[in-house]
Amino acid sequence: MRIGMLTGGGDCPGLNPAIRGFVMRALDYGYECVGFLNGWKGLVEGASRPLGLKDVEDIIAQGGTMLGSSRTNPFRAGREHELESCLANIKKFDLDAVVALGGEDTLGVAYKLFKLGINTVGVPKTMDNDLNSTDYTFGFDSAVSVATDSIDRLRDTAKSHNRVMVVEVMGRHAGWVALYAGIAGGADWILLPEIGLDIDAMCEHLTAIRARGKNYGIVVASEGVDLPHSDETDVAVDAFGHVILRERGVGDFLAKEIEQRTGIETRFAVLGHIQRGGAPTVFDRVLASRLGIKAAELVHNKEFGKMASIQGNQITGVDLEHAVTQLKTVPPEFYEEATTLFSK
Amino acid sequence: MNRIGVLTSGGDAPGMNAAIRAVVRAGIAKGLEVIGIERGYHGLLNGNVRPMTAGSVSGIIQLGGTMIRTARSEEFKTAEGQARAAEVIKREGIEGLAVIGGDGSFRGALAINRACGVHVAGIPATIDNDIPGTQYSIGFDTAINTALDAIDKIRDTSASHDRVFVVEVMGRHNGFIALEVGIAGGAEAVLVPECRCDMIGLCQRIQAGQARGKMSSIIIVAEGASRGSDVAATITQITGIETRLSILGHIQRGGTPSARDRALATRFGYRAVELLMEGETNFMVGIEKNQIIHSPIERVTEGRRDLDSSLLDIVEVMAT
Repeated sequence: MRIGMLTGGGDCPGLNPAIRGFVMRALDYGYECVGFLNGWKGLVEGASRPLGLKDVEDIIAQGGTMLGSSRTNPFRAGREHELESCLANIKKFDLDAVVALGGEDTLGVAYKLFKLGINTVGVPKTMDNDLNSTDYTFGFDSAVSVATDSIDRLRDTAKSHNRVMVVEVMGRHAGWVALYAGIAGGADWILLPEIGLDIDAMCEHLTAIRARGKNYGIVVASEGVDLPHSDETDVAVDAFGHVILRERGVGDFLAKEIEQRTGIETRFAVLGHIQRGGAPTVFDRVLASRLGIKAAELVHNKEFGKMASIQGNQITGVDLEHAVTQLKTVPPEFYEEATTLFSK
Repeated sequence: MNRIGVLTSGGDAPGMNAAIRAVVRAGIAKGLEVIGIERGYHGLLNGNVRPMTAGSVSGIIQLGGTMIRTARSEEFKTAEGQARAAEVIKREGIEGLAVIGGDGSFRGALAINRACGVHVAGIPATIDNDIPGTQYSIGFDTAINTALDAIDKIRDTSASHDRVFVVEVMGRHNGFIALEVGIAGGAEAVLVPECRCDMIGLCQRIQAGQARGKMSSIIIVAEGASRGSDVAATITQITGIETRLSILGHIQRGGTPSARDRALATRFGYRAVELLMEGETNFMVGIEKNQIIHSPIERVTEGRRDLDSSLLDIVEVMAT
């Protein structure tokens, strides 16, 4: 059997261990693996590389993905020729199955191909941890570790200067990264997209803990927090006469608001893609390896249209269809728990 | 000399604790009493002082920040504030004062010396590394390694997408951090306050790079050169390529100090105490060619350290 493999969408730590886990299991079965480069684009263009033991044996500690990634979607309207070449290449490369590692979009394509009769299997990946039908996705633990490390650094300097520090972390629609990094980093306030922004309550709290004697404060906010004037952009012109749209980020906005309302010196940091890189943590390496193994087993058992998933501590296969339709957000009671830990 | 004081002032830097420890332990070993002054000159004029023991600085060499905290004091800039500080110095019997900080802190040291004659020693600590009279200041090595670590993480992810990554690092008035991490991190370009950046030329290079198959580019921006968000927006506007922004901010100020910073801080603190005991005043310790030196503090507060802009050429050559 020949199996094609690709990674799509935004990358995250754990993709390489997952590729490795898959190939190791496929080798047990005596299957041949072919890697397609840069997501679905590789299958459309027929850009491939062999995936043998030698190719994967050194990659467990590496962030990113050895196969590259892209956001190419062969099902996009007007891209029918891409879908045709994709299907043609599956024939040309004589693939018995295609395994896709990715988030919502990548797995969505895998599901649509499955409906067209292609043998596909999915492996979930997103550092946002917002995929339904799996308890955790790899990349999340690594991202939260990076964010927590940054908060630890900010605490050092916040204490020296009696300041409030605002940290903007990833999470457009779900606040998992902010919630976990906030709890682990000992935040005094956490802001998530799921919870309405109450600037007054936050500022009162920061003022109260200062009055009680805590000389610094830490606020962790998801990039997707709904700002009161988030559509506001001011237009400026740069040195070359080009119009620049100055987008106000969450961190910047909150730092200014806090300083204005409380009079406490406040600074901010925006972590951005730092959270997507770096060596995967132990948790992510183990989870990714197990999901990779499971994907190979799903192929072996001809359970197509499925995705490897972790539920409790069990690795299982679930329907791709259900995995990609709904977002997993932070439940209000979990946030409530976190607020107990805000300094009093 | 019987009694010396130590304070940290201005922006904090990783390694300040190692310097405090060195001043306290060297002082005590040489038979002095050492007084810790809280929150810089602000604490000095308010009399926030406490005696330090060898044990009081145990377990701090590896900690970021400063155990005696720091502050910027407006009051100390006034004659009245300085008179109050002088009173505290006299009352506490402080004959020598070790000031750990940057050029603003050293101007304060000169003022307090003028006000009451106390001998003052400057120990350069600033992540910006912009103090003349020393090749390295405490905190710079840690800050560039923190920034480099962030860039390496972005590098992992950038090999996976066709994108431009803009990383804003600290450096309001100079590009020492930006340039060093730009070279070490393999950046496509480094934007520093000292030099004008040809954005159109940069965009052409990015496009040419992508045309020949380069996956992604990392642009380092010193905060004083431009806002990172403006650079990102301009690149997108000219090239149409997606850009992503990270603003490291004060993350670079924190964290456990590197081996170099700890060793440097310890050597600085030790030498500062020696020189104070020899009767020296109005000096700053520094390092040149791995030798601890000292120079008149006036030269430090009046001069400036220039960026070696030829290093920008190295960045450009390495990016091709």
